[in-house]
Amino acid sequence: MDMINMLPVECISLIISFTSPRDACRSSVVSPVLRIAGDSDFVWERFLPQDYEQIISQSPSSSSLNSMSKKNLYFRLCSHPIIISNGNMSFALEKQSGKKCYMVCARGLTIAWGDTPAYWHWITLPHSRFAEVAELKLVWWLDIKACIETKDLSPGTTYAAYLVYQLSQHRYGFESPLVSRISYQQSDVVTVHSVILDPRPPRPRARDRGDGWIEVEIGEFFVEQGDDDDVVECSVKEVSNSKRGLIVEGIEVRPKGI
Amino acid sequence: MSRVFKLKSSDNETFEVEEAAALLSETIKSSSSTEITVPNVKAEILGKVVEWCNKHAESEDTKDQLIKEWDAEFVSVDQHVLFKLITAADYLQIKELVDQLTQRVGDMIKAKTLKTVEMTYPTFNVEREVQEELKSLGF
Repeated sequence: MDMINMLPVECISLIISFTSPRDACRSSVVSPVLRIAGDSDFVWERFLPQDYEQIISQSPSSSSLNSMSKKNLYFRLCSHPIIISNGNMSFALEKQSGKKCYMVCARGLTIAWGDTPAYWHWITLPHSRFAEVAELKLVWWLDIKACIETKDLSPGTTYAAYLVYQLSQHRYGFESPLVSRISYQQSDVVTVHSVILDPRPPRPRARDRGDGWIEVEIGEFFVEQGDDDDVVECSVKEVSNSKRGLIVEGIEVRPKGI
Repeated sequence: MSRVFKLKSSDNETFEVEEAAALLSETIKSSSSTEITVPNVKAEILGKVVEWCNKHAESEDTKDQLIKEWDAEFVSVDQHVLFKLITAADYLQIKELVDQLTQRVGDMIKAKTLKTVEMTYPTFNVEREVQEELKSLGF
């Protein structure tokens, strides 16, 4: 029984818009009518974040992004993070859910002693998505923090924060644990863990991202509404021994474990 | 004194509908007559649509929990009935009903209790093409 062909294509598009990106792609293969409906801008605009136009407008490539079909735009944002916020952040989408992912670049982080050339210097690396990364020369007091406004994140989502970094050959002091901390500025909710950036022998928690950087999870947090006007602070800190040889790309937040 | 509208199904059954319920349909709203024939929609289906309109016209607050539960029951029907209801609601341009019905189908697809392939060519196996497409998109 050819049920779906008895519906107008607008109804088919509505149905598909209530499914998921993956289901929409499945549907597109099944029949010509489903392909038209499933590939439509109507459907993919529902999968994109509500404020996607405002976010894209901050990117230098906004005009080419705006000329794409919404489906192509969706996949583009999943695989190619765009630089926004005057170069301080990158934005991408998580493919299964369409939820927002951000990375705050090193210049956008609060790095204690970051402006003291004796301790940290700022370099340009070809495999970084940002203009500059922070390289640690030598420090005792390591304290790196990102502040992210919850209104920028997708509501009803458990996010995890990651320190994105590399370790240079002559690194020192990262075999011991750092204190990793997630807190909300407006409430008393705080979670604290410890992370090791340079485990010996190497352990799965510190892992390769496949883009020239490794990452370690700082912790996770839940965003309820996202318009609560709150700020999440994600930080790593260690102040009791000397350290060198850390290169910081940024701190990323993305939906946990989908 | 509110008007009474007469809706006629494709199998010649007539339903009388009070103005408040009838005007939930944009098609009826923009019609010059109070007698409307709904083509391709049988009495069984048209009756259910009228029932939905009556329920929604009498309820003051559509965000009420009770009406949400009633709506959820209303759309929990066999997929064949669901598709016929969508066709009728779409013809009558009852936006909220179309949204509820299409959401229900979407939920069934997401929950995998309904496969889109079953809705088109039940004997046509496209699973290999589907897997290739998903793989090429990185799912």
